[in-house]
Parts: sequence; C-alpha cells; structure tokens
Amino acid sequence: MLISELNITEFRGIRKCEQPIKLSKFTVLIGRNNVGKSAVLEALYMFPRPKGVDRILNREKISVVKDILHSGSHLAYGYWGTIKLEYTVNNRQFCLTIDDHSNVKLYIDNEDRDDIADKELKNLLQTRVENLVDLTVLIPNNLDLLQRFDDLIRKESFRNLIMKLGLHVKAARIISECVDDIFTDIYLDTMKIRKELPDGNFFYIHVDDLGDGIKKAIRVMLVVEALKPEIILWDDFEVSAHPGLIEALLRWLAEGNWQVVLTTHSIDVLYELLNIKDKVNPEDLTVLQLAKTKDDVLVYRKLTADELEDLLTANQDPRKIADLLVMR
Amino acid sequence: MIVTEDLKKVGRRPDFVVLTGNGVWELRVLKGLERKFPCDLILFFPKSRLILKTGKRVYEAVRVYVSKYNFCRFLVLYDNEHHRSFSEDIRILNELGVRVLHCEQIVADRILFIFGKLGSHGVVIYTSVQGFRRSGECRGINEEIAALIRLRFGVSVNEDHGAIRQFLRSQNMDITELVESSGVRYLRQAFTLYLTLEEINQGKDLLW
Repeated sequence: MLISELNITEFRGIRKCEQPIKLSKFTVLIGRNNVGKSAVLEALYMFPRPKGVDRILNREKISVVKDILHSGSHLAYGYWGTIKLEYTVNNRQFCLTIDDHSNVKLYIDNEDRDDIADKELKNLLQTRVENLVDLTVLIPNNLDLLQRFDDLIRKESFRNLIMKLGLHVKAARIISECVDDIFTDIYLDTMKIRKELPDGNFFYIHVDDLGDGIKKAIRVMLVVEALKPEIILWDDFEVSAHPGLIEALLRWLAEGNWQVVLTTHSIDVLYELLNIKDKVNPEDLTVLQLAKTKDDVLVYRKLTADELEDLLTANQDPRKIADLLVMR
Repeated sequence: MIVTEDLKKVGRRPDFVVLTGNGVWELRVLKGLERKFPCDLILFFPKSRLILKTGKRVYEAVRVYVSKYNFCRFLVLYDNEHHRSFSEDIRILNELGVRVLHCEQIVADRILFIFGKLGSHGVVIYTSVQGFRRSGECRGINEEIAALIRLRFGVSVNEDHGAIRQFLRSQNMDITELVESSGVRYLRQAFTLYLTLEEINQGKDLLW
C-alpha cells in the first residue's frame, strides 16, 4: 500500500495546495518553519480513520493532533470551516472531511462511504495491517511524548511480540553501531539496556539515562518494527541525532517494507540520504521542497536523489532554494 | 549589488545564482564587493554548510535550476586547479543538454561568458576562474586575497588559510572588511571575480 498523492484544503496553516503532493516510498519534506511540513504528516497520520484510537498514545488520532500536538482549537484553517483531506491509494480517491464539531466523513471515489466496514476498507487499501489504526505511525518531535511509547512496550502481549521478533536485540545492535558503547539487548519490563564492557563484565542502564537521540531511536525501532505500519511519519527526524545515528536510522528505515515520510531542517539528513541511495529504488527516494505563498497556498517541487546530489555537489543548499518557488 | 544567502531578506527573485566548486571564502569576498557595485543586482548564494571541492561539476546544478525553478542565470566560480581550458566547460554543458549558442572569453582563460539553450530556456552563464597557479597547496581565491594584501599593505603573505587569517587578525579585520575597504584599482588587479562582476554589471541591461 502506498499513499501516492495527498491534497489538503483548509487544514491548519494550509489554505490549499497548488497541486496535489506526490509522495514516494521514501519522502523527505524540507521547508521553512511554519510552511506546513508537520501539517502534511498530521494529514497522513489521520488516514483513513481519524477517530481510531492510536495504540501508542491511547487517544483518538484526531485528538492526538488537536489536543496533544496543538492547542485544542479546531484544526481548520483560520479555526473555522470544513477540512478536506484527499488521498490517492491504489488509484482510488479517498477523501476525509472534518467539520467544526470534529465530525468526520469518508468518501471513496466521490461516494459517501462513511459506513464502510474495516474489512472492506482494508481490502480496498490492500493493506497488511490487522487494525486500521496501525496503518500510520506518527513520531512526534517532542521527546517527552516519546516516553508514552513505553506504555505500549510494557504491555505483555506487545512485549512478547517484540521478544519473539528479536527486536530488543536488533535495536541494541543498531544503536551500538553508532555509539562508543557496546549494547547487547534491552530488558523491556524495566526499559533497561545491557551494556557490555571490554573485560566481559556488564551492567544495565535505564534507557532514559542515555542520550536523547538514543532514547528516541530505541523506542521508535521497538514500537515501529512490532507494529509494522504501512506508513511511518517522522517529524523533525534529526532532533538530537548525530550524523552517525541519522545514517543508521535512515538505513533502517530504507530497509523496511513501509512508506516513509519525514520532515527535517538538517543538511546532514540530506547528505546522508545520498548514502542510502543504494538501499532504495532511485525513483522511490524524493525530497519535496515546500514553500507557502503569502495567502497560504502550499507550493512544492520534487527533487529526485540525482537532482539532490547535483545540487549538493555544486554546494547549493536545497533548503534555501525553495524560496525561488514563491518569489516573483 | 546585494549578495544574499536568504531570499526572504531581499524579497524578490535574484538576478544570478552563484554556483561554487570552491571553498568558503568566495562568499566573504563577494560580500566585500557588494558596495563596490551600487546597482540593484541580486546575487543569490545558497551556500551549503558542507563545502565540497567539486570544481567544474558545479555545472550539474544548472539543469536542476532550469527544470525545477525556471531559473536560468548563473555565476560559476571554481579554482584554477580544476581548469585546463574553457572547451571543457562547453563540453560539460553540452553533455548536460545545454546547446551553447554563443561563448566569449572576456579575459583569456579567466572569464567566460556563455549564452545557450536548455530546452526552451535561454541560459546565461558567467564563469570566473579563481587563482593563478594550477598546482601547489594554496591555489584559488587564497592567492587572490594574498595578492590584494601585497598590493595594499606591501606585505608578502603566504597564501595558505592560516597565514592570511593571522595577517588579517593583526590588522583587526576580516576578509569582507579587507575587500570592502580596498580601492577599485587593487581589486581589479587582484580578483577575477571583480572583473566578472564588472562585466555582469555592464551587460545586465542587455540581458533583461
């Protein structure tokens, strides 16, 4: 399953899109602050059931966006009106509308299909996920919020799944490759990681006592690999991450069978993307430069991995060039 | 003339994008030259924080700018160490799909003017080769800065970064201030870039 296009009307700071946003298997969004990068992630996050309860944050997805990530005000542009979010999946058009009272309606190929059963919807989407709320996972830029991942990790059934898949060892191994420590596995009950010393001794460190970037990476890897969502949405991907960790996480994301959309302000992420070109089909890796007109129309350009490389080779910063899209 | 890394600060599309295959000092020299050209020319220098020494490979960005942003005017800077002849530049542009309709060496082996077509877009490129020597440790714009110091202060400074920095510190100035406070006569002698900007400034009315 792949969301190949997204069109946003009257959602958060975006009045409309100049043209539908074309997404690939691995899409990186760049652009100035307040251009609408997070809004794009949130629009994707709520698909296809905004009222579904997020298993990680234990709230309806619309409530996560409205109340946890934002002030609690209506999510419509200018705080008033009806939001329209249109998605293209498998050449079908899915449209969500959300009114002032957070009433949600779902249209499929322009037909009102609000009553569609999950089973039929899953068939239409051709998704592998059991539960439609697991279709998308949003990784917020707020590190405190990431601690809530622990609630899910500690649940017995989820913990057993992580252990069965060996994710507690895999995550420790990936982290060890980009830090100076040797970590071997993670004890999920207490969220402690086993650190091995060169003399063969070992001890345990609470994950929260590690650096911020590592805390985040461990939680994300455990939860995401166990949930196996179709789409991973990662806001401010680079927060607290050394370029070594950025590369390790990009490689891990590129190797998975999922669609990835992440936002970044970091030039390191753009340079490291070139190092994972070999992991993905070249057409599957794109950078979208977002810009916004004065009247809040979202404009974008798609850069392929080769075009990104051409710009970086010429010492051009793609983050700064996006202004050309809206300058007269 | 305005040299900017951030278009929001100038509020309109630039006249030229600066593509550099060199180090970090070009921007500082360009900033120093801003006031020497009292005109409304905007040079956009969206310099990456990680600078690669890529020489003539900078031309590869031309295709992206034209196709993605409909932007067609470039000032290309690279060091003499990468330069053998301008016919190589023409060949690279041809390979990128630019049909060169007119080219002219404004200063032999130092400044090249190119007008060409990429698809239906008219492309204008001024190429400026920095430095005098083609080998050795301190080629490129360092040599030109050292030359300016020699002309202005009568002091022979080694052309490496450290020696230039040390001299400027002793004078309590940075590169931008050195260039800004130097006379046109010395700047013309020291910097290929100055001569290139003169050429752009003189020709700009014909281009638009």
